[in-house]
This record gives sequence, structure tokens and C-alpha cells, in this order.
Amino acid sequence: MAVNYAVRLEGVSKSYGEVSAHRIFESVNIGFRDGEFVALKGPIGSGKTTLLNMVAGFLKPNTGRVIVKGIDIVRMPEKELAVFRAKTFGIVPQTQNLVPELTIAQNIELPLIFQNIPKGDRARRVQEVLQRIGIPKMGNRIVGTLSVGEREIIAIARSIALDPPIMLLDEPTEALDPVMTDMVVAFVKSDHALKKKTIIIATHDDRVVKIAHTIVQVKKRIP
Amino acid sequence: MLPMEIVIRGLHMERSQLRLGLIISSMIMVNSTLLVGTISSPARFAVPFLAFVFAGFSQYYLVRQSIERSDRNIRVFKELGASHSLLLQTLLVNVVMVGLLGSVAGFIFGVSALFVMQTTGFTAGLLENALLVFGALAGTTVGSYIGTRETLAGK
Repeated sequence: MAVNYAVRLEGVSKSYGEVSAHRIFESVNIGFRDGEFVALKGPIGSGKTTLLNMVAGFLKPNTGRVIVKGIDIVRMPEKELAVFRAKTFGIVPQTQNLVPELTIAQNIELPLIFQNIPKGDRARRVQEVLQRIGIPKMGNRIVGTLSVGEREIIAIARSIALDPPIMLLDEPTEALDPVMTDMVVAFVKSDHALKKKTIIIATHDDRVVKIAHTIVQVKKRIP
Repeated sequence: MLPMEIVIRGLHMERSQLRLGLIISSMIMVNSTLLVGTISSPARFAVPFLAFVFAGFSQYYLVRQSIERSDRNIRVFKELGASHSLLLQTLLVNVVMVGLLGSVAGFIFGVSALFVMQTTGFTAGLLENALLVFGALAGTTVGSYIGTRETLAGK
């Protein structure tokens, strides 16, 4: 039976700076199946974030192809890639990218605005997301007043607002206490169980690794 | 849809616009300072000089803050797939709002600080200068907040 890959990396090499000055990956071949829950595990600086950024198209590999849903995104024009990325990925970066001056609801609404979804639909979807994260009445709180953990939950909630088929999460529990970590883990797990999304999560947190189907060990190259 | 080069150019334009705003504000400050200083007390050049220094610091802080906030919003919007035209709108609204509020706040507080220093003495002037800094900071915060909200409200 043919395997349906959500993401495939073929012969991918990546280095920073001058050629081979700081080589992160060399001829990497790996595939993540549709609906698979993958944990990228490895020490800081091993290239987990670089891998996620290449999958999302934020970074281009030096050589090789990155195929997402059957499309090679390395050669895709930037404008087209931005639209493709917004529809295909729910991205939770390592540094939170919420707008602190806006409310929780407005932050969740942002990707919906950018995809030109009508106002009525946006309000409904935002309310659905707020309900899923268990705070249906707190949409009017300003994000700048939230704790780091609460912001992480909102960042994840925003990434699912467009219901993308692939989720990319970069160290979502890094700065969280055990209670907030449990909340994030439960949320990601339930989202995966409900929607059968492909989830690729970079982490060195064993509680997160435990719930993944596949663990990919990313090793640090010694130059 | 606008090409990416225009957005990138827009970012440079914004920085230069803000620099221009800073220069204009400083010019207003220098002129009003010298004018009031000359009319009321030609001998006390130190007072207008101090007022100018305080105003300059607050204006510098205001410009730096506004660039940081605007850059952050643009980065977030880009990551979330905003169209280029919306990115440009965000830039323009932020520049106009922050520039206007910064200039007005700087001008009003700068001139009033000078008057207080000239008429009631140095200590009261220092207090007024603290207000100047506070006013300029509040101007930046409100400008950025209104700018972002106004841009989104238009959608």
C-alpha cells in the first residue's frame, strides 16, 4: 500500500554562513505520514528549529527538496508560498508571536482576517476555539496581561483557528511549569485525536515525547 | 496584491519617515525653545538647552519604541500570511499615528516645560520634564495601540 506523506525531505542539506562553515544537515531523507504525530528530540542547537523552518518554507535548504502535500516548496515563489503556508500549517514558533496590545479573541482572529474569511464566520470560529481551550468568556482579555504559559496556550489556539492539516510546534512547553505543560500536552493530544492532523513538534520535554507516535532523534554535528 | 519589494521598501520608508518626524520635532523644539528663551530671558540659555536635551531623549525613545513595535507587528502579520497590501496599510497607519502623536506630545510638553522652567523655577521645570517623558511614552503606546486596532478594524 502506498504511503501518503504529509511532508518529505529528500536529500536536504543545510549549512549557515560560508559554504560548510556551520553544517546542520547533510543529505537528509525523511518523511512524515499524514496524521502522524512526530516528536523531534535533540539537544539545543541540534537543528530542530532549522528543520521546522525548512518544512514551513521560512528557510531554504542549500540542496534537496522539501515536499509538502505533494508540492515542492523550495522552488515555490515567495508570494505563493506565503498563501500555501497559511492554509497548510499551524505554526507555533519558539518565540511567541502574539500582539500584546490586542485581546485574546483578536489575536486568534488575525489569521482568519488574513485569509479574508467573512466577519460572521470569524466570530463563530474564534468562539469555537475559545471554547476548545476552555475560556469561552475570556476573549476580551488583553494578551499583554497574560502569563507566559497562558500566552503559549493562546498561541497554540491561534494556530488551529484555520484548522490546518499540519501543525508545527517549536518547544511549546519550554518555559512552562508542570501544570501548564500538562494543559498544552492535553490540548495537542486532543487536537490530534479529534482532527487526525499531522503534528511535528520539536521538544526535549519527555512528557511531550511520550505522547508522540514517532520520535526522531536530531543529533548535534560535531564539526 | 503588491510585490514583496514594495513592502521591504516600505519598511525602509517607515524608518526614514520616523527619522524625518524626529528631525521635524527637534526643529520645532529648538525654534520654540530659542524663541521663548530669547523673548523671556536672553541670559538664561542653559534652561532652553536643558529643555531641548530632555525633549530630545524622549523623542529618541519614542522613535525607537515605535520602530520596534511596528517591526514586531509586521513580522507577526507576515508569519500569519497577511497580504502585502495589509502589511503596507499597517505600516502607514503606524507611521502616521505614532508620528503625529509623537510630534504633538513632544511639542506641547516641550514648550510647556520651557514656560514652567522660565516662570516658576528649575525644580518645577524638572517635574514638568518628567511629565514630558511620560507624555511622549504614553503617546507612543497609544499610537501603536490605535494604529494596530484601526488597521484591523478596517477589515
